[in-house]
This record gives sequence, structure tokens and C-alpha cells, in this order.
Amino acid sequence: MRLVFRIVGQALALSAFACVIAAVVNATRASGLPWVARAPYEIYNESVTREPEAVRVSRLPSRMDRLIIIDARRAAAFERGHLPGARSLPFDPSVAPPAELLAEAKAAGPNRVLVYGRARDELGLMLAFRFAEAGCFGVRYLRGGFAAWVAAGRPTEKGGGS
Amino acid sequence: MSARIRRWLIALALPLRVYLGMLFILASLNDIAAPHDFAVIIATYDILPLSWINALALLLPWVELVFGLTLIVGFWTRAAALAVIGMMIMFIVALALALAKDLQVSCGCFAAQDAVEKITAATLVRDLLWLAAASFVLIVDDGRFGLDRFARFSRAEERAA
Repeated sequence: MRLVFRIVGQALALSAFACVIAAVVNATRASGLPWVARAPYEIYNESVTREPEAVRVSRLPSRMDRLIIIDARRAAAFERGHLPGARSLPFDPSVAPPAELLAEAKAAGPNRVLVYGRARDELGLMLAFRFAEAGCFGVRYLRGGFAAWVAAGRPTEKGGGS
Repeated sequence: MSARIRRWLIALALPLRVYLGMLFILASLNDIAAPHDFAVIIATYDILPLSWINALALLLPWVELVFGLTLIVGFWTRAAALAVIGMMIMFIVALALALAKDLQVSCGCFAAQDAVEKITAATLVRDLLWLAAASFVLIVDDGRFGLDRFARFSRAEERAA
């Protein structure tokens, strides 16, 4: 038991020593960090997620209901089959995404918007860029599009959507 | 346990100890240089209250550095191993929570090399292996291969006197 107390005491002493060094270094630094953050951090790394990222079907989270899923294909293709919970927003380079949808996407936070197209990446990527340009960070587009989703055996829905 | 097996185990603890020490030193350097970036990573895990984030970002890297150095030189080795175990448990809990929340975040353990690598179950397994290594050092290392050796001799002399 004495050994345990000694080990714990030594660990605490070394930790305290490290904390003192940390405090001194931070105090002497011109760009020291305040001990208490003055404002919430924007919890994403802009250099990683400012541009839309491709995501494979296999890397999608298990709980898709927390995502805003947007189908960039034409309405007819959407009605024939789409990802569960997806919303139809056929990509049109001359039309910006609806303001309400953009506001919802921004409010949802990073990595909460998933865009997909047919099979090739361009459609999903282009629409994802529109969201990114409008200020949504962490937008992702599905690599391989709807075709990849179906090929992976994931469930689909039919019919119209919002 | 035979004396020969025990000697082998103690000898195995030395490279593990040095490896863990270098790991923690490497992990600490970038965070010491850029505490703000480290604070952003901590915030990304969305676990701690805002008021704790900066303090952790400032203190944790130095704690990692100090214990990394003490592990390498073999000073208060078991205490350092115990602290490493504590930190690994903290990291594992944070990783597990982030995985449970499906957060697409990077580990934040090291600098640029995994800045774009998102955490996965493999990250968790890696950390568990490091935890096991630190536990091994705590249990097995008796201080004969480091500065602790002189403390052992001092205590032995005191007992003899």
C-alpha cells in the first residue's frame, strides 16, 4: 500500500510540475491562450472540411436520420427510388439552393449534409459545392452516387419528396 | 514465476517504456507549439464544457511531455506509467464517445500525419494496445534500467544502515 501511495504521489508531483511549466510558458508567450475560452469554438477544421468531401457508402454513419440527405438527380429519377429520408433538389447551375434549406443545413452543423447524384460523382459534387459556397461546412457527397448505394444493398424509398 | 522469466519481462518493459515515452513526446510537441489548434480539436469532440477546453489544451501537452521524458530516462517510471494509463483511459473514453456519436473528426493525437484521417475502431484498438503496454510497464518495470536505479540503491543503503 505504501508503494501505491508513493507511485500516486510521484505522479501527482510530476503532473503539478508540468502544469507549472505550462502556466509559465503560456504567460510568457505573446500569443498565449486564455485559460477560459471567451467564445465557443467553431468545431470543425476549415482546412479539412471547407471543400466537400467524398464519402463511400461503407463509411456513412449507421444513423442516417441525423443527416440532411439531398438528391441532386432529376425528379423522375427521385420518384423511382431514392435514399430514405432524402429530399429532391435537382441540380441546376443557374439556381441556388433554397434559402430555407441552406439555413437548415447551416444550423445542423458540420458533417450533417449528404448530397448524391446518379452514379458518377459530378452531380453530387457540384451541388455539394453550392452548399459549401453558401457557407455550409463539412458537406459530403456520396462517392458513386445512388448507384453505389443500391449496389451496397442499402434500402431505398420510392415516391415524391420535399 | 521463475527469475529468468521475470528478467525477460523486465527487459521487455524497457523498449516498451521508451516507445511510449517517444510517442507521448511526439504527441505533445505540436500541441505545445499550437495550443489554439489543439483547443479546436478538443472542442470538436463536443464532450467538455467550454470553460475547461483551454485549460486542458494548455496543460495536457506539457503533462504528456514531462511523462514522456520521465518514461524514457526511467525516472519515477511507475508513476509515469500510471499517468500514461490515466491519459490513455481518458483518450479511449473520448474516442469511444466520438465513435458512438458518429463524429467525423480526426484523432488529434499527432500533428499533420493524421489531420485528415478520421477516427475509426482501429484508432480505438491502437489506443487499447498502448494502454496495455503502459500497464505492462507499470506492473513489471522495477527501475533497474533508468535513473530509478540510483533511488533503489539509495533505499537499499538506507535499509542496510
